[in-house]
Amino acid sequence: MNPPGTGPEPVATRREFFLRGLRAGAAVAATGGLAAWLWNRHPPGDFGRAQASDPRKDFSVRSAGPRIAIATGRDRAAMLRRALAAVGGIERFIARGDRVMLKVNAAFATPAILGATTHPDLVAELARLCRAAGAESVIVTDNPINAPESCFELTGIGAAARAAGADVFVPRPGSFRAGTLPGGRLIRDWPVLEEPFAGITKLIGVAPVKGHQRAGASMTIKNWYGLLGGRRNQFHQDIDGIIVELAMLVRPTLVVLDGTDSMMTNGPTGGSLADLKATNTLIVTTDPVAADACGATLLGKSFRDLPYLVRAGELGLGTTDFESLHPARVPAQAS
Amino acid sequence: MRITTARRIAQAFFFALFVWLCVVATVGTRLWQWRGWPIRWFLELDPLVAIGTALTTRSLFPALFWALATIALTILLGRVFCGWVCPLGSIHHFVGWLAWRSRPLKRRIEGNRYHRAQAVKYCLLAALLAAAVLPVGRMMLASLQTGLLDPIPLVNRSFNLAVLSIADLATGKWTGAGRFYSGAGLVGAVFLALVLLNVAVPRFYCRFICPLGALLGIIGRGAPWAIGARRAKCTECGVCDLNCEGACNPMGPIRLSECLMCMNCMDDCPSGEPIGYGPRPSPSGEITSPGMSRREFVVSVAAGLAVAPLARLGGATAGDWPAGMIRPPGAVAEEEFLARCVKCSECVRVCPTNVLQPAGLSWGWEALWTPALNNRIGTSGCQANCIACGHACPTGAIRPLTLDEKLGRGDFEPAGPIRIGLAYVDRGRCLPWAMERPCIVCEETCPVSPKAIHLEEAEQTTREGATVRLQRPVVDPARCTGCGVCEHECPMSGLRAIRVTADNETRDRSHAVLLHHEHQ
Amino acid sequence: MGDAESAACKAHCPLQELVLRRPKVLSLRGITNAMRRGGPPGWAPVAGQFMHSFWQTMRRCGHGQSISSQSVGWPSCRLPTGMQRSKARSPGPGERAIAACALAVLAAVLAGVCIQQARFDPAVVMSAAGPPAAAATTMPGLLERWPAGLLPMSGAEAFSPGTLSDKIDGKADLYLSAGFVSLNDQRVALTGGSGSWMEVLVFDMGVPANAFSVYSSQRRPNAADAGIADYSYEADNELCLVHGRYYVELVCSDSSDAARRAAETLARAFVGATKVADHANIGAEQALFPPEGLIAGSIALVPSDVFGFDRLKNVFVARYRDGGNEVTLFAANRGGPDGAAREAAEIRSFFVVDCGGRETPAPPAPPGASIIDLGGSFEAVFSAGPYVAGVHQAPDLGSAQRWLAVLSRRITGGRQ
Repeated sequence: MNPPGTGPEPVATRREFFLRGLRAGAAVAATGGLAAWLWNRHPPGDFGRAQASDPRKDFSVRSAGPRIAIATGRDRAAMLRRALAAVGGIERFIARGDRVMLKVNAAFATPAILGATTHPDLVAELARLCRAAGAESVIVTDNPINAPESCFELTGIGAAARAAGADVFVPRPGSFRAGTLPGGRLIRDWPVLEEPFAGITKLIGVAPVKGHQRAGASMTIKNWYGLLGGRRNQFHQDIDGIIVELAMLVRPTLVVLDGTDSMMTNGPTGGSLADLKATNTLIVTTDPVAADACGATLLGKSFRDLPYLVRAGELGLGTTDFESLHPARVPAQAS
Repeated sequence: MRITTARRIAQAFFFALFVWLCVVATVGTRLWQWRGWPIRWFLELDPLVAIGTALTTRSLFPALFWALATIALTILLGRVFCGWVCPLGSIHHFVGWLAWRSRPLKRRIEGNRYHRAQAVKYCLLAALLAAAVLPVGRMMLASLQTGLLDPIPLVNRSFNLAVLSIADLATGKWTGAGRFYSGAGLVGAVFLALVLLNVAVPRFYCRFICPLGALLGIIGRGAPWAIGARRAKCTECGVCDLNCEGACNPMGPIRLSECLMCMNCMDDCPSGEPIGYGPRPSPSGEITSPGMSRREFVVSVAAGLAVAPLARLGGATAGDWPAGMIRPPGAVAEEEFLARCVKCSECVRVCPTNVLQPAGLSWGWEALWTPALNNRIGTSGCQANCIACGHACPTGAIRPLTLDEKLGRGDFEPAGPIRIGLAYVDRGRCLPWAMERPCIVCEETCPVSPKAIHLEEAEQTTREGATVRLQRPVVDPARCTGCGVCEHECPMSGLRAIRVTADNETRDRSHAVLLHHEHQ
Repeated sequence: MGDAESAACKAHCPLQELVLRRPKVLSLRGITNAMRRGGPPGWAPVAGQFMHSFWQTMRRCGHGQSISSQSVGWPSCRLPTGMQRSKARSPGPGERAIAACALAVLAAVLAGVCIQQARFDPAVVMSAAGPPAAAATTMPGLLERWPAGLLPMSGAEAFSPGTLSDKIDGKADLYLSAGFVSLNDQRVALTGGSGSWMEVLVFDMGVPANAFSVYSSQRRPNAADAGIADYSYEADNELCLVHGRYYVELVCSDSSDAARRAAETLARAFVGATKVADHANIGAEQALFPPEGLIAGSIALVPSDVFGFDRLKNVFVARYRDGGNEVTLFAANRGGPDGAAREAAEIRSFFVVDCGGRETPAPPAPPGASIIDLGGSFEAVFSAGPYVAGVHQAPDLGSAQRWLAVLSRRITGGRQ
């Protein structure tokens, strides 16, 4: 069955034995070294611990200074152009070769006329203007509440963006990275959208004016909620806190607050044209706090009715007294 | 003294030590209780536990440094662990000896011939280690399943849950009276089957299944010394196979990775001289290869690599996490838990209230025999002042907590106590809520201070027209730690009127219910 | 053995022959078949045949030691006999040395395990680094943190006058009638694995006198002064103390030394931490009682229902030894002579009218004193200045007169 070898009997030489012994000793030493290197390298629970980075996004253009323009009318694209011109022209903010991120509100898969999401006309015009100013690429994104693909399509934002030469980025679970906001209580080791921001140099937020059952209003600052991942609905237990932290998280280049039709009731989802009121205003500014303060007036409120805004003003994240910024008021023209 | 006598003494010693360490694994200070007995020493010695967890976590849990001793021993001397130390090996050896000693010599010699299927254990090892090797990160795809077949966790589990419990039916002294272990029947049946397989082939498990044996065989085949046969005096009678435990063919080219160093061949050889233990190579040849073909290796590795991703497809560690599976306090988050737990059931054994139970298949097969709380079993829920399970765990799947950390005291006051779940009142079953009868057992027995259950007074008119004043329990999620004492004490003993689910457990933030707690 | 079968083996080993040629006999199947064929009466021939073969083997190979004759006719010789067991196969020095080393390792393991068992695992000690940090109590303003070595076992419960009976049932009357304000009750466990625990009851009685009264009226007979706080005693598994207006009971689960020490520590911590406006002090009343015959520690303040008289409240009583009997003296400060005299009259009338006693002729001193014969015992009462005092349950008239004289001398003597 297992016959022994047929050749001459091999002899274990002393040299061979010594080498084998050496090898064995080396193997033991190597294993010991490996064990020492790995010793408690990741204590239990290490992987759950915050390996969080600083998630802050600062794309503000300091040289432009605080500027605000308030345009009135019904034609969104025209209002946008006039307002941009009034804050110094888009060239003041977008330079040749810039990669621009448009953070829109595509939270719900509802048609644009219901006013729950950013109007596609604005998206198209803004993307076009950016490209005309020399931007190398324009990316439109949001982390919707409903299913992402249907949100971008049914709201018309996807089509509008593509028509204007912009790309739509639909976030996936891997697009987020854990971030801990310095000075924040809530955004600690929390997934924040990172992937589409690679290489981005300018950030413009575009949001409609909406009332909100919990927060009082959902405007430009609450728009940044779409940068949070995870089970972010938890934050509704401290909605004012999270909105303030969003203001700490993001410093955009510009925000565009669309008050052409403001959602007065049943916000933020709305659902009926009766919820909307034609307030015919568009606000473009570098200061989201000022934008929200101005937008509050469209909802018939003052900034003091919005606790998050009061707090943001106190923390110096912006100016609630938007009049002090000398807003350039651009009325409608018959053109 | 013969070497085989020394080996038998060693086997008996380690087996007795193993059984003793199983018997004493009860929290307490008496001599027959835990005290300082190193109850997880055998698990710490097990290199497969150390290597498995090193692969999944890229780190060596400090207690497992003992495995270096076993590895060093194997590198230098071969599979001495298998033949001299391993308690499961000793059981198989003994049962095999009992079953085969009366058979004809010819039959016995044939039974100990090398069989090609002995390569299967290397395939199992390759598959198990491949399942453990995928990268670790936020999306961990490593799954530690070595505990299913690794002999030390297997025998630990089988003895603690099944064998000692059965042996203890009369006295109730060894395992603590009146303890239950769910699924212990399956564990015992598997153990019984493996032991009875020795009737078919001696040391069936050691030769064909044991992944630790395979690992030690691979590590130990380069040992400087080995069993060998000098051809000069050898008559090739084959009687050395009569009691060969490893079926390694000591007469011919000896299979170094199969030899269990039992030394029986040296005793059996009628000539007395040919077979001996000396420097390699054996004069009659040696085979260092484990006998697994490359194709078998590739197939095993491929199968192993697929294990973890396939297991995670159902979302059991993501959106569909099982809310009924309450892990012990100090357990790490689920993906890391599955990368550390070797299913040894040491925590289940030491839990003083018998509330920790090995999970079945209802929460995914990956969780089989991992520990979870069942508040209906045992003497109470999770005791507030107990930290036993974390200190019994050999791999750190349950962190060894201090009492301060568990209760949220001292340095841990800002963080608050460790929560393993959240109790909720089933108002359709609760006596004062639904059945017009007073009862406040849950509120009375809630152990946290201030209590996590408070009472709301309500007046109700019964069907007889009397007015009763009822106190109705309401749970405060900011204080509840999920210990389960309330569920255990609830008089609705079928489906309890207050039950704990794993919501709000501290080990995973995505399971949180509240944004803030009192302490934050 | 198949191909490798050695002809030499067969030639030399009759046992081999036996195995190969007559397996039916030696195997279990062979035996059972033979039995089935032969039936029970056939057992004898089979056994005989087998024993014959067995004996042949024994005789032929003379290889006794390996053949096990434990089971009937079951030779389990492991070696093909006939070939002599090689003498060279006795263990050489190398083998003996290795075996000895192995046994030494086993001994070392055993020693290591035995040494390790004395170093308790943290889970057994229930603390990883020394005693746990002191836990907060729920008695803010009184005692903020439990002393080291004590852990709260459960939450604290608070009781008001309305709910006190939920906790202590009928005994509540004693406290309620003594001005009870609130009770804080909690159980704490001793760390260190002794398993002892104690219940901590802190009664707020409003004023120190009330605290003293519930303290003294419940004082256990075998209690010893503990020397803590204003007044304190220890008995078996209990330590009770009065500290200002607080009456504290520490009831231990056993009477072990550890529990007693922990109770004392807690008592001192409580006294040290709790600020009280004024302390209980019965020095003045204590001076009213003559020291001779006084049973130590028996001075008590009975808050209400003294001697069964529901209108009699807040009276100091003390027990005395009178020969083989016990007698009780009582005294109370009523603020002024009128009040004292009035109360003395009420007490007298209670004994005479309500209890059906007979007043004996007036004793010589003190003036206005009465001695009432209740049949089995004698009561005496008098007033002197602002004090009303007397004797309760004296065994006979002589004793009543004697104690009356002693007491009145003490009270009036002290006044002058």
